[in-house]
Amino acid sequence: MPRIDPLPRSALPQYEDIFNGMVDSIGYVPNSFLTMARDPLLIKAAGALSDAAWYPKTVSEPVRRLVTFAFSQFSGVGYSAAHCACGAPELGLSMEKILAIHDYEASPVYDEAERAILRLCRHAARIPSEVTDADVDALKQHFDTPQLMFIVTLICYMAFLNKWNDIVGSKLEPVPDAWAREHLQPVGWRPAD
Amino acid sequence: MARLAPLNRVDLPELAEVLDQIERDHGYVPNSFLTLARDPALLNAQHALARALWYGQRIAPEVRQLVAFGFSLYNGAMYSAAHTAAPGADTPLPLAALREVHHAETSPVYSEQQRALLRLCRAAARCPSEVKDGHLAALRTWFDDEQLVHIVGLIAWHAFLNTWNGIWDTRLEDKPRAFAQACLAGCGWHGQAHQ
Repeated sequence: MPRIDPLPRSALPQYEDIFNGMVDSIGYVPNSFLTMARDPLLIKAAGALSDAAWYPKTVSEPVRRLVTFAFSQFSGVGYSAAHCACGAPELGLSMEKILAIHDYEASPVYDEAERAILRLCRHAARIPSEVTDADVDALKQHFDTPQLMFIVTLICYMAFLNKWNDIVGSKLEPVPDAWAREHLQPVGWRPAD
Repeated sequence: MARLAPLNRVDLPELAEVLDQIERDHGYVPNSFLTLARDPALLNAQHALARALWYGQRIAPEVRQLVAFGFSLYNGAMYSAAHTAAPGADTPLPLAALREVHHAETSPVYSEQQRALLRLCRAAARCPSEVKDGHLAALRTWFDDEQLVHIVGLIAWHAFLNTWNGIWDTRLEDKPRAFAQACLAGCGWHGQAHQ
């Protein structure tokens, strides 16, 4: 049960531009945004944040999905982890990589650029942060400044969404829920109560 | 030392209106905004979140400051903790209410409402989260759904800012650093990072 109820999409025609972008990108409107729509200024700001932090093509689609899935998984947020992994294999992030997420230092399925990304995600998900100069320096070997900044932006965007969904108790939508039940349980993902 | 250099404000004429507003709000332009400014769309989105969540009227300024400061300090994010503690027109809490957040359950400086807010912030700053139904149920004694959306939005926005400044090790500006060193030492704040 969500702790704050989302509003029905049919009651929010003024945000159809924001919602249509989400449908085009992932196939559905996440309940998280239907809860944010309770505050007009918040949903508009979150839409602007999505425009800046999700839609640009600054990094490849597999990198985008690896960053967002990994940070959410390391943060223990099943809602966003399911969102970011569902559909990822079709976009180039293999199931082998998704399933090896907790063994990234040793698993041969990752290259050094991916390992550097996962180290940053892991350390950024710790409280307090465990990110070091070396984590960022390692990424500079593989990504230019705009790409590195976008990777960090993706992490922070997920930090925002993770915290929101975790507190309001957003209900996972049927498509990612069914996918995660079938595919993600080997990495510790569990259906919500 | 910062891992991403902030841009020089004079090199950002296209963002002058937003940066001028930020300066009016803070008295200076925080370095976090000058690193976010490397992507104008990202800076504008953050500005929109600030207008929605920091300058909105749905909750009292004391509530807003306690949530933003409490969550950031529990999160170990000293940059945002110093910013949200520094006294100003929109940060009205007495120093005692900031210094006691690690003793929220027992300190006599807090009301039951403030204790419930700090319980939510503390649980939300754990990894994995320790937020339970009871945290929001307790807050419904004082807040309606629209106010709760605002409070949760504030926490989520600070999760973004805390993570941004934690990864980049953004340099804390002299004014909030001096305040935090003078007034928050001994209550969990430290200035080891963000030099």
